[in-house]
Amino acid sequence: MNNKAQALTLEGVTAALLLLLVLYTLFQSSLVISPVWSELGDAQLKQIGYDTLRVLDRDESYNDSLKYMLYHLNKTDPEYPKPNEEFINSLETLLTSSIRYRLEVSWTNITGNSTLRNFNFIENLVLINNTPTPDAVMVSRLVVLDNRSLTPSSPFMPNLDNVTSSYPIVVEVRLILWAV
Amino acid sequence: MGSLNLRLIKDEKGQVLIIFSLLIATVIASLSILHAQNLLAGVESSRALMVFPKEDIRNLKQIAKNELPDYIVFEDDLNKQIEMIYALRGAYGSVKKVYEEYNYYKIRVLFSNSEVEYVDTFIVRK
Repeated sequence: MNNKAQALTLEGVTAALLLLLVLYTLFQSSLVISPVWSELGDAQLKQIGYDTLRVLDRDESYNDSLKYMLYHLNKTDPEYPKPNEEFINSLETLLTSSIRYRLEVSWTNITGNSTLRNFNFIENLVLINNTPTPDAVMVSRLVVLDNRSLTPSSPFMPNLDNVTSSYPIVVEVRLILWAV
Repeated sequence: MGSLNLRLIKDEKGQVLIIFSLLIATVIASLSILHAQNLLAGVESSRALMVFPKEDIRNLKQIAKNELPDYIVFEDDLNKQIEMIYALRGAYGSVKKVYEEYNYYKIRVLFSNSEVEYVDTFIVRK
């Protein structure tokens, strides 16, 4: 009996399988490479930061909200510019103890009156001054404050004459995070 | 000697081997091109995913939906401040009213930086 043909068939099948396997491996091998660019840094840390800011950006009736904290910053306060305790507690709970942070705010210096406003420059204030390590990441969130809810000694108070209706003040809250 | 030469020339098995090795070399070359492309596609898509400023866009949309209707008289002032703050980071963002009816505003959110340009128009109830 001649068994040569069977061997050839088996070899053919093996070769086909081998080729299919190689092709499948190749198409599946699209690498998802975790970012190494300095601008991206630690993507997970950034996401935690954004989530934290989003959770804290809620109604100002909550004492630990971003808005409550910003409305209650007061230049005459002896602890100025330290944020209120409830806010710091919530922030540190959300960030967990393995993450250190620095907190800054920026806003536009505005002067003028009801018909003409000048947007002069960006003012900065460091609320919690820790020194970041080189691998720190920055996240930020814009919060809109109402000038009528600000106290006269608030750092965000614009110098406006004759503006009686609600005037928006945009404040950028920047959270710089690094792992320890 | 002469008969040996003649025998080598007559043996055509070597040519078949060369043809097959060429074939296999071509296959390997094309597969390696595929592999390189897969690698690039993987790197590019993961980078695009990471760089996309989704949090900034969400933030702007939230301002457009919750804050802008309250300050519609000072729409330009609100935008000027947003522009100045984003300009510090080399980006541009704005939330503008493009159309108004008695019960709703049509608002356009725009965000652009060196990587992404995003525009979205939606309706917000008064």
